[in-house]
Amino acid sequence: MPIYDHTSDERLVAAALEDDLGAWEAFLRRHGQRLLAFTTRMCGDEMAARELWVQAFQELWNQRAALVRGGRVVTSAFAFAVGQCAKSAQASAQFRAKGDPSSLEQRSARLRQALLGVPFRSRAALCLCYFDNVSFEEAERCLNAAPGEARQLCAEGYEALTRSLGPGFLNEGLA
Amino acid sequence: MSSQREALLFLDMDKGKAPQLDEQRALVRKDEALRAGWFQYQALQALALESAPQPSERMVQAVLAQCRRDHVSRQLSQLTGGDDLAREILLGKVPQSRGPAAWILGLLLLGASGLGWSLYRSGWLGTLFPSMGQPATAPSAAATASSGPLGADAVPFEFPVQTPPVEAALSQPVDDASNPDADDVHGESPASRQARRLLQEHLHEAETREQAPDADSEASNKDSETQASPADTDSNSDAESDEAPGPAAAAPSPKPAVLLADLKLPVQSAPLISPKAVPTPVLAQAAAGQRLSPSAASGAIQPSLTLSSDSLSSANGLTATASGPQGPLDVALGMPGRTDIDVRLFGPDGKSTRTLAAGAFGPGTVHFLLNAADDQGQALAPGTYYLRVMTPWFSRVEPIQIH
Repeated sequence: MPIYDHTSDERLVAAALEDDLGAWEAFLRRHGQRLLAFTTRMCGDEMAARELWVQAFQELWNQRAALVRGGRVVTSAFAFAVGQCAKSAQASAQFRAKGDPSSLEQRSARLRQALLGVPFRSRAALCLCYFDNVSFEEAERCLNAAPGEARQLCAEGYEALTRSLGPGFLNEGLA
Repeated sequence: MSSQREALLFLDMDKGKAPQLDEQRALVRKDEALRAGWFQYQALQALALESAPQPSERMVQAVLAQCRRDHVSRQLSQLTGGDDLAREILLGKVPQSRGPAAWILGLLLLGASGLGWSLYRSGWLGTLFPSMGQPATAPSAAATASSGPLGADAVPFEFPVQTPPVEAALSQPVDDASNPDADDVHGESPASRQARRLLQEHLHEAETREQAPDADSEASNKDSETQASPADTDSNSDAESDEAPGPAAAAPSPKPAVLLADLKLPVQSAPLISPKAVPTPVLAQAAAGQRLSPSAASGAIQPSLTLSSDSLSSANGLTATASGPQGPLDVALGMPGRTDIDVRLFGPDGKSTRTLAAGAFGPGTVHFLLNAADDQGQALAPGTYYLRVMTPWFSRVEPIQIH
């Protein structure tokens, strides 16, 4: 969708409100990966995250009027995704370590497993602020949290994550 | 330093741009323990980013298909005012009622066939008609010619029941327009059937897109999910946008996508009854129900539908949904080119009661007068009727109250 490359999210969603499906597709493609990465980290299970992603964007289409009610549109989209993840909290996914422990896949799987052990709100704050570079203020909007709470939640989440992974996580398997 | 404070420090360094953070960054560089923690902080971030999954093209298309369905559904509701029957009429889904006579005939035939089968099974038929009373033991897929000129002792000759080959079945004409009996829900004209078929095809377009990926694409889905590149998605979206019809593609065409553009066309609909509506001189001279010739047909005519009441003619008791003056309804169709159109009135039961236009008209603005009478000239019973206008540019159903 090159014609929408320089169009802001707000204008894309405003066009989608006028049933411009092309604008909605551009918005979906622009933020689809971020939202999928977020739902995957939050759910743990990649297949469930993909289903959740589809449902989330379909619901976002139905409620797209709510996206432009203030603040950044993408923040509203993340807030919606947080709500969806909370509804279908799946923290039971197990990741088996196979093959080379230093491989990217295995490290990634262990990281996801460790993330699932972090409490939900801290995990959401961590995924938003630490992994996805969302500002603390926006994360507070997404989590409906008090000012300053996102920073604290994120720090608690990171502490829990590193504790779960252990000090030698990054060096394991390396020669 | 506790890990909690360390995490806060790293987060602030990551997010913050305040001048005092420069001092903290310098501190991290000097402190060996902090530096190791900072490296781990960044390494975990990089690992998470590196292993982030990509949405597959199929997921994107699934979302867009649902959005399209919702979009078309809402447009249909808009066209039909949320009336379920009007929606069904627009889609041509209201089944034709065969009447009580057809039901009675069907039941009689069913009873007769059941009785015949019972007699055949019980052998009574054989006693009455010896040549017909064969036991029903022959295989269903073959007909046994045991009775014939050779007599009962002859070796039965079996010949398979011929079924038409698939190729022959596929070569049968499938075009509704070429088959006057096919799907003739309301005794519609070919133009109407074509327009209805296009609309239905468009409605199911989203579903077929969703079902399009076959087993191979299922199998390769995982790969495509992880290997989808922005270039691929761009090319796909470009291809889609090429397929999407623009306003220039609004000419009559068998492509279902034309209807998508049609639905987007702004169809101007004046209030059904407007006290200020002034009938044109041509309209005033015409008798109620008479088809009028196209009026001035030059210039850039936009596809449009206008309904207004002729207050000069009266005495037929037809009004629109809003209260207003009585009189025949002037159905004005603005058409940019000559094409087949279908204008029909459907009754409260969804059956076609009056055909105002079925054929080629235009270009220009064409007027049709609708009074409260059916095709045979009989007065219509009071109730809610539906005026359906189908053109290659738009389709529309308007409820009309007849008192």
